Amino acid sequence: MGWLDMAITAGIWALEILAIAVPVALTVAYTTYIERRVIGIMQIRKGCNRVGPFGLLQPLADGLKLFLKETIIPTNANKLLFIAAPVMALVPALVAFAVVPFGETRLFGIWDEAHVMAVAHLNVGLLYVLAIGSLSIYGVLMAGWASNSKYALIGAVRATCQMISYEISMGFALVCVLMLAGSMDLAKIVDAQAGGFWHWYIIPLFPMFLVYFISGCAESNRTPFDLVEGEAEIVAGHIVEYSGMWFATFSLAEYGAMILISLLTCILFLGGWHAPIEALDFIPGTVWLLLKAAFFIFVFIWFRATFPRYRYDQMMRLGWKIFLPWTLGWVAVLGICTYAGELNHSLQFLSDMIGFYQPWRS
Amino acid sequence: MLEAGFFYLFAAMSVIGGMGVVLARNTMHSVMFLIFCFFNTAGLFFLLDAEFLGIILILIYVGAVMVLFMFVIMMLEVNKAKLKEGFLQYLPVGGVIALILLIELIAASSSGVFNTETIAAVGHFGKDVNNTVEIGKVLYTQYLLGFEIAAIILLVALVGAIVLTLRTRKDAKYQNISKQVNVRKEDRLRKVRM
Amino acid sequence: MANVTFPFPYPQHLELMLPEIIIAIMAMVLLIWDLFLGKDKKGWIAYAAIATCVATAFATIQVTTGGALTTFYGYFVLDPFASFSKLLMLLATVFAVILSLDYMKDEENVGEYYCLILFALLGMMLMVSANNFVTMYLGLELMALSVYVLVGYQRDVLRSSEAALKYFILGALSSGMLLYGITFLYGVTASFGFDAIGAGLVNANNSAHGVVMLGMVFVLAGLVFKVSIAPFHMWTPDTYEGAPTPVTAFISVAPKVAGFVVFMRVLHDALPAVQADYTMILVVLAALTIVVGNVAAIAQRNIKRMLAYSTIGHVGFVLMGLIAANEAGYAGSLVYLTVYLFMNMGVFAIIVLMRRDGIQGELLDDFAGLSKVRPGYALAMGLLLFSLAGIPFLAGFWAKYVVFMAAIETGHLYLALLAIVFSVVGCFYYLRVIKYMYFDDVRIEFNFIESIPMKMTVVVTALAVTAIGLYPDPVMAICKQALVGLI
Repeated sequence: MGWLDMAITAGIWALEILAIAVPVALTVAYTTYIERRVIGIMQIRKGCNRVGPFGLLQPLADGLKLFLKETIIPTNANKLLFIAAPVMALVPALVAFAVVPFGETRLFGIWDEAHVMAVAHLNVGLLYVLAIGSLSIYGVLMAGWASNSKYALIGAVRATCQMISYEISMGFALVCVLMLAGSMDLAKIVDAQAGGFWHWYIIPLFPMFLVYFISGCAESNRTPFDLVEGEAEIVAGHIVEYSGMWFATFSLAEYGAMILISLLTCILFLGGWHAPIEALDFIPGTVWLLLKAAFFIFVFIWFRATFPRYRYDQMMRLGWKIFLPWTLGWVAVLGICTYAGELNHSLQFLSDMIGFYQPWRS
Repeated sequence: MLEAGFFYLFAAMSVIGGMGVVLARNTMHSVMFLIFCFFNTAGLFFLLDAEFLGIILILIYVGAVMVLFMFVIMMLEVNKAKLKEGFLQYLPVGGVIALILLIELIAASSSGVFNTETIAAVGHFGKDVNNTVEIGKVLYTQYLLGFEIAAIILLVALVGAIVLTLRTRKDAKYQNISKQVNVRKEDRLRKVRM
Repeated sequence: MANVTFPFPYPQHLELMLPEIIIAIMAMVLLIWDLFLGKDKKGWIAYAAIATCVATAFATIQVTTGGALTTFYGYFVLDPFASFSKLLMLLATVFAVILSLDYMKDEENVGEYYCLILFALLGMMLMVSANNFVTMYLGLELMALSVYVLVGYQRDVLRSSEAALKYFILGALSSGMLLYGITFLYGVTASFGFDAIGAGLVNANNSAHGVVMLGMVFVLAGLVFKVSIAPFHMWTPDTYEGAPTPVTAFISVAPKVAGFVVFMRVLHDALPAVQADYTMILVVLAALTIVVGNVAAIAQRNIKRMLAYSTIGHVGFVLMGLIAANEAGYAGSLVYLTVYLFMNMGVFAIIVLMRRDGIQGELLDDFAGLSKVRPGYALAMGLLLFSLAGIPFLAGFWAKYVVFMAAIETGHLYLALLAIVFSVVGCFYYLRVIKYMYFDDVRIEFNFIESIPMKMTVVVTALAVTAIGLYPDPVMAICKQALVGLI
């Protein structure tokens, strides 16, 4: 491979990354706007509507304000880690988008085969998302420790417990998806759900869908699981000492994670870019995916407007005593159903039923 | 060429990370170095097209094990400087053992057994073979017994950790949620005829 | 889509694993059952554990055939050798559970205790049935992990936690060495199976010699730690002293049996190509172990510590059978382990019986005048200690006799002489206890546990030691037969 080819490849990579990163950043900015407006409506008030038409320039104004604010670093903080923490929170949230497939495209007929629209088309995409997702904890943990403040530390400790607890049930929910799709490639998981909404994994895996989404809420520290930053008890937890840009970085990471969870929920359980019925396929797949994801982002906001915060022990109980047994049970049920026909011929109907969702068996 | 370059990059970085773990004065920095080391090791796996192992390394070690390490260190406030007291005292003995081992290792690894000629080329099967599937196949057939024992080991670890740490405190007040939910008006409210 | 053959083939002959399956299931059942039992009924769990062991023993006898059979795609082997050692370990577990009966009365977490004992047993049973390093290592870790927890079971007792921590850290280190050694052997032969490694090493070219040596040394170091052979014996006294006494009894016997069985398999199946080299190393280790164990035991005032060093000494004698590396030697080691099981369990039963204010009769002084208060116990203790010392016409004598003869026959005369000299030295500290019991006045107020199963243990072990001493042939014959599968 010559230098020119390498340069061109690198250029294409850079473009691909930009094509994902810029819209994500914009979406994050406008999610904050939508969140404020939606909560405003739900609470029968206006929400932000002053800057620009309908307040549309509000996110930009906010960004500018945060950017210009002074960054205060506490005297006794561990400076290196204090500054590294927000970056460590943001990077995993953005890097995870690399494997998210936004649809399939033939680039207006230029390509013969449909290509998956993802920066990196890994065949262990699902594991990658899980692995990168598990890294986001470091930002919170480091922030809490480096701030040298007891509220921050308590926040970080809570965050650790919470993320570790919910990661397990989240992982098991994904195992269920794997058992049906037979692949860890996100694009193949979507393809396994092609052909109308009755093929979607939300139907055989409805409890897992709930577990996944709720665990997603907990992973991204959204209400009702935001006790990591509970302002009433521990004054915003790990972000108590942060201000200006670095503070903004944390909320960027949070909203990025929220969007990611929404996209993944659609990809894993709601047929990704496939339309609910094939007649609607004339609308591009990417639009479907984004529409579905937008609905889940709305649900996130809805949660925030509706639910009170969980208490710490209630949250742990939910994760360990309810989600974990349910997910484990569902894994067992799926496994038994898959194998039932082999064990006993009269149970073949179970295998057939589950086989409908398992393209790798036919 | 490029691959060799990446190999040396990852290898050097993981060695630096490993050294950092031992040499860093701050325990937290040690942990960060260890994480760094794991990342580079995962990189080495990726170079071998063993993406499953690489990702699992990050998922399990960086994502779970190290978080708990960090958690414990935050709780304990280990004073590493104090731990290092007496370090020099044991240096001669430890150093000699380490040196002997090093010489033996160099002798063993340069003996020609691990040459590229004698070991069948690892090659890049990864392009045609999905190594997750392949690992799954041997794990659930050939190594099934090992897999099952490993599961029991994890169960024992779980039981052991709980046995060694769980003490029900007599003075703590526990909440019985189902009792709370099942409470009825009659249980709490008493009408008094005035 | 990757081509997956579905379904995967089931492993054939699963019934060979019946004993392991029973233990695994029962351990989990006990764990759950404990939750539903009232505080006063927790004792049932111990009896259930004993019943499990008995059932497993029957199952083991039932599934054993004359030859070696494998299951789980060849990763599990059942031969008379494995079955015999399984029976030994089951017996040791039954004794350990009986010793725990009273001990666990005022502890929390009863179910978990017996569950962990069963899991440790499971690990050891898998170890002895391993014909490859994968199963062996995992079985070993299962055993080790359960035992770490058992050792540290009395969390409020500092000594217990310290013992567990020391054992854990050194154990982890030795596991690391073992694994590291295995990687070298795997690197040369590209196989985990003992037989395949053995064949591979025979065919390996000369340049591989260094690598093989390195692998062998690390594997030996790892194994040697588990059976506490000097210089890897450091953990033993602390762990024995700190652990709850029934657990000490358990770990002084059962893991040693498992460890030696694995040791024999590794030496005989995997490393025959380097026999000259390993024999040299083992001779040095055996000599060192016998000296360290017997000399250091003299200085101990605490009987558990003394028994720890005595274990080290005995392990050195067992190792001589492995050095001989022939049928007589391996059979001798098995005889030794069998006899040692009865001797040690009996002694520990008496120690547990002498419970006093939460501390069991641990100091040597506590035994002063025992013969005046409880002549029966004193007699049993005397017999067992005489046997441990190797006084003729008790079981311990024959055990020593067979390994010494095996060593002499294979040309290790100096080692045998050294062993004889130090077994005489060893008599000193055993006889000292007898002196305390019979010739000293009562110094403390004895407070014995009245427990019929435990008394039975004392009687059974003392009788067994005497019976084997008077008529050793059946045990020796059984141990010779049990070698089918190894040789």
